[in-house]
Amino acid sequence: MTNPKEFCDLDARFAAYRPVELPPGFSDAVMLKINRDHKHRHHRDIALATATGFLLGALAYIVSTLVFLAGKFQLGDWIKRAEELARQVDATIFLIATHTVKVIFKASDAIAFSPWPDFAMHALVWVTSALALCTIFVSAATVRWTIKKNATPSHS
Amino acid sequence: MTNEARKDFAGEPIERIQLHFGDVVERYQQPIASFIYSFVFDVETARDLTQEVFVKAFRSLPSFDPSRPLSSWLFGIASNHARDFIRRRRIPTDSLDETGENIPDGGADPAKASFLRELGDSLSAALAMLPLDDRELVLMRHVAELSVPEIAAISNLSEANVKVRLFRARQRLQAILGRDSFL
Repeated sequence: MTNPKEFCDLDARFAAYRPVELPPGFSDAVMLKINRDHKHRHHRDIALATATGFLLGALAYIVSTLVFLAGKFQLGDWIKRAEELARQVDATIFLIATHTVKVIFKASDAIAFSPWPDFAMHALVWVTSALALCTIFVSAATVRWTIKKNATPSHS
Repeated sequence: MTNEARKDFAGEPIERIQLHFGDVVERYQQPIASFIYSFVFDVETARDLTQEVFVKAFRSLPSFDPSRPLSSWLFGIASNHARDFIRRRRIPTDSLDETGENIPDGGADPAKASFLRELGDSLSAALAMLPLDDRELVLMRHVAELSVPEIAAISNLSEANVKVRLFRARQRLQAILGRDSFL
């Protein structure tokens, strides 16, 4: 059994234990590295949020254009035919798929055959643009929030 | 920040710790460097890993629970980082003498004796002879100055288990150091 005196010796050895001498200015170098890493991550977050905003906006444009074109070129008729065919061959999955697409095209039909097709088209474009802008603003707000949350560290 | 809070940053909100992170670095850089050195036994590597630990800690600060002591959280990160480094570099983690009973006299294995001589400091050399898990417990207790409950929380062991293992590790360390002639 180790006696208490020996334990005290061990404590004294640990108290003097300093195997690594840190050079002067080490903490400054650490803070510099932290600040660089912080800025890098911050810029990456901004780039990601902006790219996500633009991508979502572009996606909204593409979807609305597709829906509009489908209505304009009466693709709904093709869907109706496909649905009838699915019913005839009793293909349940295909039936569900065509039914889902039919619901989407119903909306585009309504736009394409409305008494004011031009107005509907313009409305669609405006709504999509607003959606894209909203997405970008939300991204920007997220970035702002991130900046506020991750305040830059100081070194006193 | 008050002097008392500067000492251990107890109860400080995360935002304040974030803004005064320079003080955290000043306060813990030396013990963390010593702690990491006792895993890797290389001064330059210990310095680099110490820097990385603080960068990692600053990144993870939003997930820090301010009701916990900052020191145990920092040393937990340091321990994981050092272990990751050892795993990546495939540094052998076996102690130089697993049993701790047959202390090398320097002549039996020239490679071991040379390594121990390179370490210079007898405590470093003695620590190198402890198994990694025991070494970590001893370092957490004596270099990081963590309490037994804090060590138990970091190492996922019961407090009783930590106490027993610490006692045995200290005994082995004492036995190794008792034969200073091994260097």
